[in-house]
Amino acid sequence: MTNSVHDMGGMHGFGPVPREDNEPVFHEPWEGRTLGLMMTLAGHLKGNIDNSRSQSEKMNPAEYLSLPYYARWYVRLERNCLAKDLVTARDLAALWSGGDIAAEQEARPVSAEEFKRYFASGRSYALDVDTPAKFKVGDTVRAKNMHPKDHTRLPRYARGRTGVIIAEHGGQIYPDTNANFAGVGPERLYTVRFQAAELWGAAANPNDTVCIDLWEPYLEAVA
Amino acid sequence: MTNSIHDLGGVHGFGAIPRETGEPVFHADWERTVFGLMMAGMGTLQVNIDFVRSQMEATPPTEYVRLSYYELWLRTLEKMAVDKGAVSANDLSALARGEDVALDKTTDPFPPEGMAGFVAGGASALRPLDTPAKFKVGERVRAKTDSPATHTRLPRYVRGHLGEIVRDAGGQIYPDSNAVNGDDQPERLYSVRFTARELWGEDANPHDTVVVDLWEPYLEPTP
Repeated sequence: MTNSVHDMGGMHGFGPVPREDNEPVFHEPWEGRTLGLMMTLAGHLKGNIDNSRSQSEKMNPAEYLSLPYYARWYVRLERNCLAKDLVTARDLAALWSGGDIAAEQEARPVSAEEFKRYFASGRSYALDVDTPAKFKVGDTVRAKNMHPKDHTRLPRYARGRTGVIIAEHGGQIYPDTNANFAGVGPERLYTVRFQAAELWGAAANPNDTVCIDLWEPYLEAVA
Repeated sequence: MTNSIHDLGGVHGFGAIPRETGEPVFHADWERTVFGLMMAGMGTLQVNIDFVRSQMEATPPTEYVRLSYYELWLRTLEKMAVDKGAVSANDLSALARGEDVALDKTTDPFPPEGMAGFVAGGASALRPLDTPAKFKVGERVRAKTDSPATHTRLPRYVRGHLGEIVRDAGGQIYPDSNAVNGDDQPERLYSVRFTARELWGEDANPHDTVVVDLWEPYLEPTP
């Protein structure tokens, strides 16, 4: 959901973001397993990253805020597995209470080696787009004041604000449609720089700026 | 806090607001008790409504979204009572466990008759103001984009947007200063009408409007 509790940019009240020296990739082993589960099951669940994000955003706000990052992933994964009949609620409950279940094992498990190769290869979201760019570097643009009910990557705090295009990244998968399996787009992606005062008012530091990657349909020309 | 979790206007994901037929003023007796405690406590602790709101808004977001309305009142009252030294955190915990605590009872209790009169009479926020109005009814104004770290009654969803003054409500206590230092110097209050399309974009119903009561310092003239 577009204006849900996940859209925290510009919000007060969450306290400082702790900075750890030598922060580990995972703080607990279960976090690593959750990432592995998510990646391994992605093929079976036939989801995509934008749909996953959209699902997290549709969590009940109280639940969303009470769960740490990877717990949200895990909760989402369980729900998707239930929805796609990969596991039954009864079996899940049995597993949680330490029981043994006769799970189907049709699918070949992914090996750790395959997994490492998958991570190392990464994945590009760039796609060729053959329409001409609507904007060019140096153009002043306004982020649209749009409030779609579904997924978007245009944060609330930038809507209606004016910024300058500082980079163009060509065609990229368009999250707003991809999240609903309504097509990958692509749409052209730009980096837009906003002055802090434009976003937060006259009291903001005049030297601060915020750069946001925004897709072309989020932007309009400034008259 | 200005941009904290309480500023829910325009936020998705909280579900429908249930409408009850013949809704009671209080859904449980403890809510009535908390209401009375807060009214009496505000007098004892020498705090004003804007300060109380600022304290509620500073509730950690995870807790804020979990608590019911009067639970939030109770939490805030307890916090203020501890902060102001009216009761210790230890004594509060002991009371909650049902233990006996030797409380300081030097303050005169607020009699029930007084409460009835207080609630019926209300407390006006109107104050005489001798400076001329900066805006007049019918004028177009813009809500400022300021994001102060302290209390404000200017919701995020109207900041930066254009509206029309539909009422001049005269001088009223200015919450932004009253919340911080009990300075009840008035500022002029206006009702400002925004079209839904101005606030939510072109997909909004063209007939819908939102009227927000905004103090003069929140507004700037349109060029």
